[in-house]
Amino acid sequence: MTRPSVRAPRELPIVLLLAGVITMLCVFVPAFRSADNLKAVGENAAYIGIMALGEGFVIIGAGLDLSVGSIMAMSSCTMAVALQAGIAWPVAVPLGMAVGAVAGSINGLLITRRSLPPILTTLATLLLFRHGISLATHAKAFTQFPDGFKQVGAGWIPFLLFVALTVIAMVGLNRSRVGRWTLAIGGSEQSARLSGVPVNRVKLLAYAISGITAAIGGWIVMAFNDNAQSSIGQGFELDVIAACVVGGIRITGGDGSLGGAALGALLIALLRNALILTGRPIDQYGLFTGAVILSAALLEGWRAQRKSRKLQAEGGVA
Amino acid sequence: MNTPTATPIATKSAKRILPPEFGVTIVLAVIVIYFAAICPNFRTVENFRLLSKQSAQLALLGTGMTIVIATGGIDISVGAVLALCSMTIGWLTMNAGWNIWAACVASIGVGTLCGATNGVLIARGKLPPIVVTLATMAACRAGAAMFNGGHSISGLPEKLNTTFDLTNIAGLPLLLWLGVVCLISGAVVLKKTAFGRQLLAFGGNRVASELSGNRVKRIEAMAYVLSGTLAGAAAVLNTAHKSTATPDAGQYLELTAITAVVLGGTVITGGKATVLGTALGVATISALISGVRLIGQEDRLAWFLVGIALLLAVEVQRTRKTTP
Repeated sequence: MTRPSVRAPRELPIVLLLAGVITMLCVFVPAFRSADNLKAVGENAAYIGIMALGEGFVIIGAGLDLSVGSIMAMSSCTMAVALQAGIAWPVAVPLGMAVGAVAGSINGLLITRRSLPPILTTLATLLLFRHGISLATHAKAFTQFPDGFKQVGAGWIPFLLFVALTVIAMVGLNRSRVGRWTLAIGGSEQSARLSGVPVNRVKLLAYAISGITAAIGGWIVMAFNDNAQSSIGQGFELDVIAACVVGGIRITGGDGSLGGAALGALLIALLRNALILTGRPIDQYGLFTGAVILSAALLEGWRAQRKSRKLQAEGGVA
Repeated sequence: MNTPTATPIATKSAKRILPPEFGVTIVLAVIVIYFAAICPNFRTVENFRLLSKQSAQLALLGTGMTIVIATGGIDISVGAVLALCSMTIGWLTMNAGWNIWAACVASIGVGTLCGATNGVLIARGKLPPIVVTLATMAACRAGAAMFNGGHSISGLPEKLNTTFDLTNIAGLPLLLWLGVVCLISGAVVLKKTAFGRQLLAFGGNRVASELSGNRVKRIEAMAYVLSGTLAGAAAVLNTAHKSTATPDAGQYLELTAITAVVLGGTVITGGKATVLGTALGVATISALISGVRLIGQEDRLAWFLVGIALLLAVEVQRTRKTTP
């Protein structure tokens, strides 16, 4: 008889870590509690987190998207050019999202149709998208966006948008058919295919979603800074992947939750903020991110080992 | 009676004979011929010397990356390790008063140490290479920035620059010799030594390799150690070239090295590697960047083209795999 095992939720370590960090910040760093600072943290968490939702979808489906930073630049610059050309912002924004979706679909199509390895494909498109948009805009800086467009970067709006999208994404992954299919593909693509899952279409969708979330992230960043340039979002892919890994998404796919990815993004934003507030150079932030990613990976490795040992023990009894 | 069946077999084996370096050779030839035709400055001896000097760092990193990818892993920390080692050289000579050559040795030591960290975590800790090297990349980049508050360290002794940039051996730049020697050693290690064979066997099938009695953990860890050592050595060249240690040195160099390796025909999933291909891949990227600069375009066009070349290379690799 197998007992229903009481398994700690995957997000437990990150929740504890977050609680610890927030408590420490509240107690020891008075500047942390100011409304302006909290809003800045919210904005930071929002763009990393929203992009991590899309990236999480891809990683859970056993893929990887290194091009999110470049897609962000491409759609941001598209929106900026459209706005400069006098196009109303409610038209320019969907245009930017569409560019993100198309860029993501290019990744998806290359990976599914031509069965190229995700890491190499998105590495190539990282170069292509970034330098392509840089060539197209001559690395020009855009600014002075209309007020309506900038609303999304003001006050608590980015954070609220982030929370709303997280809820939608969590429901989408756990309750919808496509979400379950993604988990199945991440677990074993072969089994998923044999069970009749339209593997290619689901993967394509995941990359397209990742492109769209990168575009939304770009919108928030350019609205917050009132600035867009082809170098926007350089290196963001690492923060975004870090948020996913820290949030308990298994890097090889098949396991993890998007809520975890969102919490991971929050942790990364908080750590960055803590460094700024305590007057340390922002460069040290990489050390913390590195340490956090490693501990998350070690924890995951330990979990996997314990699980396989447990399975072996159970097999031995039976 | 045999004739109809013999024909398909013949074409099949003809396809199999195509060496993995075939694609990159053609790409390199096209790039060189194109730029040589449209740009007189490209086909000068002076440009060749410059080009070969610029390729040296990439040749070192590419050799290490080939060995890592041969095991089926990946090392995205090399660029950041290079920056950390470069700052180590700068700090030791300018702030701690070390002899410049001692600092260079220390740089290689630091690189080896970083590689060993990667190797132990990946092989012993059984963690995915991309996650581990992502973490060390972040940490090393931050470490590099901490030496001098994020600023570069300049004013290094002249002799570092003159030794590496101006020395010629048998009429060719020292840097070219270094790159070539490194690549040849890499090829010999991979193809002619027991260690190289074990590396490839491990990359091809790690379970089979372990069951055959190979010390797989040690083999896998060694690949990352070598990659780190070579990144430390590349840091010496990088620092010497600019006479300055900068914390953002080597940015995107890991991507460039991976591109050169894959372009050369090494299989990303491991088990099959060609250092000759990597050498050609390095030459291709260097020639492309040099040519684009000489026709008066900016580097970003070159990187755009490198991206396309990488996609094409992966595509060719896939075609080779599916039509054996």
